[in-house]
Amino acid sequence: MNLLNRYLEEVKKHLPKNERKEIILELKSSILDEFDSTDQSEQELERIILSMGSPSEIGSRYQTRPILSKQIEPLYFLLLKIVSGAITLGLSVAKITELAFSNEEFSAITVIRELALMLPDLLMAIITAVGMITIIMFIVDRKFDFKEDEFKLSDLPQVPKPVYWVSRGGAIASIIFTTIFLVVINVVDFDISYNNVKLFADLTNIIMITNIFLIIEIIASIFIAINGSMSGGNILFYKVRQVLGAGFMWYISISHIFNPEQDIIPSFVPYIFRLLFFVLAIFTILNLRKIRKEAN
Amino acid sequence: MTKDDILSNHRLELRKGTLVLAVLSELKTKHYGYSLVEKLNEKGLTIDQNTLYPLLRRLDKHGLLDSIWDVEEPRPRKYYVLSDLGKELYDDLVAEWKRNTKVIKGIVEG
Repeated sequence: MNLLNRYLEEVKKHLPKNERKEIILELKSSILDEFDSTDQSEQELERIILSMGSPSEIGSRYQTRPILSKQIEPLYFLLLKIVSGAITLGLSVAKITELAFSNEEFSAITVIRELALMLPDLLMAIITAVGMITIIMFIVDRKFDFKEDEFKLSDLPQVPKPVYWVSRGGAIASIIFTTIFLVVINVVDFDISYNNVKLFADLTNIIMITNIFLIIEIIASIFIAINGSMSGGNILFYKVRQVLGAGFMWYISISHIFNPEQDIIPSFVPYIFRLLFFVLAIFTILNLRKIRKEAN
Repeated sequence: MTKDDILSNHRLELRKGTLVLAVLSELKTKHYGYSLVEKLNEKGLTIDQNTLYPLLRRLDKHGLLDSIWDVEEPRPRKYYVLSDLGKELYDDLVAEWKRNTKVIKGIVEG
């Protein structure tokens, strides 16, 4: 009988608190009833207990209420998504800003290294947030009875229109502005100085690379303008073009465009400039998934 | 998931509703847990205890059954019997089951 008591003691842990005593009493009485109908050997008791299933299994059959009710589940997952996204974005931006304003070299490698070093903290923060949200939602779920709103057909949202990264109009605008930009950077003299201190660093290489990038961009835009927007287009082509754009912005964000010794403009401007291009590069990469084939 | 798992899932689903019907039907006379298992077994319906006992509790909670602890016997036992609400619902469910069976029969065999 010791075995039965041990089993019931374990089952108890998996039962709803306010019903434990009675369920255990009933289970015990039922198991003993069955036991009486056998030859009452230890083996028979073992067989009966095994047929009842594991303590957690039988416990779960008595649980009538899930941890979170169905009505609150979507809100719970939405909160999880928002909070973990916000924490990741917030910590990353904070880290990158800190790096951009520090004396350390702001390069792809240092950014990646610093972000990687941040991972344990990030993980810890997310786990804590998830735990807290779960506890809060659990309490809210028990305290308030959530009733689903009556379903109305008019509540159904419109099917979202596919997002196109580039349309024909966009491509033409791109050709015009890129050409203007190309002319400007090659015509304007960047040799600005004040009290014999130059504003910009040596831009020869940067301008050369920018020229190459802008020309590629113009060619690509012409191609898109001729072929129409995304219709039948080669998705890979658009993706490569965008990765190239992101790469270029990344390159600008890590390049020394301003002369480190300049005091013509406030020193935070070059930092903001870098940060801006860094963020642009990230957004361009994030936008990659928006490139889709045109719907029929 | 193997084919056997899928099959057993669907068999469980198929049984679920009719199980309640069988239990309600037997509880026109009062029974305690194990006596109900035996009774159902006798009639060819094998039911696991770990399915039946939680089911009885649920039906009791919903007010379909009346339950009473008999402590006069050497072993205390909880007896269940159909409540008035249970009787009403049972009749409705039987009618529904008969209709369903007829319709499904027509589909499957038709």
